[in-house]
Amino acid sequence: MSRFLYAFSAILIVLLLPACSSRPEPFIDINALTPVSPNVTRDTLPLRVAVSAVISPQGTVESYAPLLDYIETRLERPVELVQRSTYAEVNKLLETGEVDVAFVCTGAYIIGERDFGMQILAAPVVNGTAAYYSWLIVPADSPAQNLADLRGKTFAFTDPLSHTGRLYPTYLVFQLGERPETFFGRTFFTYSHDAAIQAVASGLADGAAVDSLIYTYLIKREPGLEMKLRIIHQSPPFGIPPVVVSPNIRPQLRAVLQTIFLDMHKTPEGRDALAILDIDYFILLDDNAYDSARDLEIFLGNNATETP
Amino acid sequence: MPSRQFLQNWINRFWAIVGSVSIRTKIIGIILGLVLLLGGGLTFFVRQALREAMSQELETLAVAVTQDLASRSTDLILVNNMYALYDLILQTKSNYPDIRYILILDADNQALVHTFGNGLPGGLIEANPLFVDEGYNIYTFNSAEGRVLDVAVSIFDGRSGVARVGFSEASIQRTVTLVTTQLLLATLLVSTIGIVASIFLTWILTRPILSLAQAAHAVGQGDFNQQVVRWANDEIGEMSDAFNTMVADLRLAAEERGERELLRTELVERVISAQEEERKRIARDLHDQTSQSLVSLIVQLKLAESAPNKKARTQALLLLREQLRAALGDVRRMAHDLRPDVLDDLGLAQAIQWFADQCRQNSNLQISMIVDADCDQLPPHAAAAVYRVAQESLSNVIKHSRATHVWVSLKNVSEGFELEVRDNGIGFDVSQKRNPGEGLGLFGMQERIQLLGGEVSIQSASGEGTCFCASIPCIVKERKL
Repeated sequence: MSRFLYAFSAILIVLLLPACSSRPEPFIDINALTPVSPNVTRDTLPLRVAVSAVISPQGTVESYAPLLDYIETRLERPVELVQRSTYAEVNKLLETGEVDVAFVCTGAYIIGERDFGMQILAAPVVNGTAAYYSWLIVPADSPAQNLADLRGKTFAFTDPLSHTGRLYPTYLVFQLGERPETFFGRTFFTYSHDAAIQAVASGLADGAAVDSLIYTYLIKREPGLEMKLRIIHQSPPFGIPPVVVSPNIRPQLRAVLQTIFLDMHKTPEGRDALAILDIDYFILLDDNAYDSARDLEIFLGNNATETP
Repeated sequence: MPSRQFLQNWINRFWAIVGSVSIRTKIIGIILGLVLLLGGGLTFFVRQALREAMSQELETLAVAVTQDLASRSTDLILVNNMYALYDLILQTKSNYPDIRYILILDADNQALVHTFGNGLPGGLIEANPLFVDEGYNIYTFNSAEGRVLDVAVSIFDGRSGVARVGFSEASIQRTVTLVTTQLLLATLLVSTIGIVASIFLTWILTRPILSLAQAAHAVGQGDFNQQVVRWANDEIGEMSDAFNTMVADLRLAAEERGERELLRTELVERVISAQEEERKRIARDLHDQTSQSLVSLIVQLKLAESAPNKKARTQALLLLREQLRAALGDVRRMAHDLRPDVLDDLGLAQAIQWFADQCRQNSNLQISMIVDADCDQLPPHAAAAVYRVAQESLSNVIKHSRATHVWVSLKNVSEGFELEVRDNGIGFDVSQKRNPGEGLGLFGMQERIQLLGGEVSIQSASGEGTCFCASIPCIVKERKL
């Protein structure tokens, strides 16, 4: 009898145990606020390198990390990657000197050079040439053969200042005697070339104009992407997006950086970093290389291009 | 260790209490106990299960929301769009009412944006560290507002920082309390209904039982007219039916008993008066016949005494002897009438035969006799009773039936004897003769046979003769009248 009672109470205790056991939990008073302590100031000021939004921010981090590490090693100074949403913001940072070096798009360089004296530090050579193109792309199954076929369709621009991604296609539309606002059915800005490419590949846009370098870079890294797209038009060559520096940069730093860039292809680590970006090597490039692009901008400027 | 004795004490106490309370209390106790046990147990387990389930769900939601926030934050942090980041966390917080705070830390564990306003709670940032290979980490702590679930998710594999979202379990607590309260209220409601129901149930059960008890008491006092109402078609209804049948049977038995008492009293009176009658008859016979004979014998003796010569004296003595012989015959006959020797000497069968012979001599009745029984087993008083019965029924036939033929049979049957007296007379209405005062012969016979443990059946109808049949068991049972 008592044995039965013991068994019964044992079962009862086991059942109740999960309810009773409560590990003492830590206590934090979330209503007691203390002012946030300021950021730890670093001993050495890092070299701030901006990369324009040509591909997605995360993609940029992945791709540029080796090159920036290389520079950091060579310079013996920490290098910090800075990104912004638009070309205009990067231009602003260069203007104020908040960044020292930047990888900018051709269009942004032209405006920056004009507005505040942005300087070319070096220019990459890709596939043996320091030029690039704007490629008009459509979905692989699209019947469009040229820009005229994209009348009334949806078109994806990249950045408002982008030469290959906005200015050139706008120029093409003007050539047809039209304006983009009325020629296309709908337009939108993706603010990066890889987003524009993906938009066309997924059918979100019927067409886009993208940086040939980026296009090549992306289809190499994403198998299956090429099959979803078709290039229907290639622009005349433009000067390749350069590496620029702020006009306020100290000449000494400028010289050191230029050497680093120009000699990068001479070391194994440098070559590895360049390979990821599909860059052969850096060269000095004169401003003239950007005249064709500049002319286009002037033409468009005269025809009142709207910058959203 | 509680001893057996201790346990036994408690068990005894328990049964004493249970036994001494009314059925109503017992039923209320059982129902209430069950409801409370069920309600209480259910509430407890449901509460636990609910809390478990809701906590689990909250955890899943919290991780999903924080992971979503982390992925949305990545680009914004990379392009340093602090306003958009701040807007994002505000929106996220307002989308999920359970979110207590959101915190975005950069790669150096410094707060980029947060929802606290003017500062940060001490120890919060360090409380939930995230290691490189962990996708997310959950940290729970107590605060003044209850339990908080802090989820940390790395942004861009930790390169851009960590997203921290704190979910409050206050709503879980509220829901659990609400459900608990509702369950307890429901238990209370059901308890109340249970009490009302059990009172009603008790009334249904005890009403017929009490009326039955009352009726039984009255019947015990001798009132056989009690009947209980059959309240329901259940077991108690059956008990009521059985009770009513029993009371009806008791009443009938009492009536019969009364009747028989009456008859018995009459019988006893009759027996006594019959006895007196018999005595009177004997006395008369003795006086009329016997003493007369004796007187003439005296006279004759006197004559013989005073006879002149031997011849006259011899004649007188011869006459005297004749007269004596006659007188002796008379006395013998009287004695035999009273109780035949033949019964004691030769047994029942012979006695009946002898009586039948006597009847044949004294009447025109044709008597057919079948005596086929071994009567040695009957004790003497039983044999006498059977003889008297045969005698009485034959006398009845001769006296009342105007029959011409009578059949008498005495047979052995399976367990005893069967006496049958059948005549072809005028018959009579059997029910009539049961009334006392109209000749107790039949009743007396019945009583004598029943005394022996036997049974009597009389079949007759007007114009159809009569059949009197008595069966007597071999083993004579004494039965109380």
